Amino acid sequence: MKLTHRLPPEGINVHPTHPLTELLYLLGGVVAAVVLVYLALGWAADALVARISPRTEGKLVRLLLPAAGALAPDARAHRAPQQLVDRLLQQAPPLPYPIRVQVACDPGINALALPGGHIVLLRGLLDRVRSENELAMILAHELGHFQLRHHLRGLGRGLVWISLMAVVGLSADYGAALIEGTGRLMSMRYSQEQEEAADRFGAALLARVYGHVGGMGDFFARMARERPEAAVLGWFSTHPSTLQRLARLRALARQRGWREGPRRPWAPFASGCPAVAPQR
Amino acid sequence: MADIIVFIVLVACGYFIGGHRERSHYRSIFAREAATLELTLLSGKAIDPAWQVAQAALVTGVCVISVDYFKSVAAGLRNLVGGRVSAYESLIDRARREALLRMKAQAAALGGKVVVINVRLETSSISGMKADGRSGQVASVEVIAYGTALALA
Repeated sequence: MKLTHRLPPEGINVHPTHPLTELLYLLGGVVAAVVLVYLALGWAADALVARISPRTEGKLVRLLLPAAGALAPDARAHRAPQQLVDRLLQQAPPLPYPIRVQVACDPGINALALPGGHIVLLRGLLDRVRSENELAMILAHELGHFQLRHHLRGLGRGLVWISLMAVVGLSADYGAALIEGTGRLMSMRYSQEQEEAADRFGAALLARVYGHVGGMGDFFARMARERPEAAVLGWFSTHPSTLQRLARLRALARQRGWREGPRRPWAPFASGCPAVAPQR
Repeated sequence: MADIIVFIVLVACGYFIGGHRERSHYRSIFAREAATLELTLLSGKAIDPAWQVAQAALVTGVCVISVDYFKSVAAGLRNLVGGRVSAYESLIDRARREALLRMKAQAAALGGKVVVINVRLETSSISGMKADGRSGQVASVEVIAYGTALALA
């Protein structure tokens, strides 16, 4: 038996592509696929929510309202913001249902627009309000969500989100993380666009009701000073950054010729909520 | 946000450190393959009648190589779409050749002219299982090469 010694040839068992090329190719492909699926499902969800009747909305709120937390026990707490909303509504395009404002004892700084015409103001937000005009801006912003049917669209997107995750749950670790990350960025982008639209609607309503937009940005400006991290962190959040919102609102006011004006005072009232340590 | 930074750092570590180690491993493999070229490996069992076998011994070479983070991310994405997992190809290739080289080193220790017949390769994966039984993210591959070394008189 004649044997010849030879080194093995290279490039047969190991694919000669550069590892980074392959990774980028895969990343790009998967991200593009997720974006497409999200857009398609989101479009379908939007088309469906436009058909939800006010009555169905009323049923939905019974599922969602308890999630907002315990409501303020003192009836006066709900009355003052309710009167303010009623004044705003006189100048706003009609909605298919009455709007009801409630105050929840949660210390968070937020306001929610829930299906069925329910606005929930969290107590942490009310505690920080200094003038009637800035509260009117917050409430007008929430009315904008109802006007534009965002509360239902949000629900539709939420369902899209859950179904996407259910599919991804079956696949590999890293792929799932990538799909989840892409989807989250997409839905945050979507939610930020809604917030901006609601801001524009709220500012216009404020200008119509008061004849000026004094106090429009006060709350955002104060929040930017108190919580600097929220002022800049925009992209990874459901809401645009506070500074961004301020800048956009001011640009809009300049463009429409809305002027500043005197603020009306806002008297704090008893909410009957249990005392909590101020949130840092 | 912190998660994303940690992830990017891990992937970069895998890419730069893992890539460097892979290149230097290949350099070492090429050099040792050239140096041990004269030691014959045969997958057949037949013994050439011309051979004067002075001694026979079982020789083995074992090698375990770990996946790096970059490779497992690339392979994880590949799992979604299917196709050739080229990130793992070089890993298996290195493990196989390293195992053969270690087996050759054991055979050469017999001294004199050595032929290894009936060479076999086996591969198994060591999964990165966590203590709680969930699958971890970094696994290793083990390759064992074994054969019958014949020291020729």
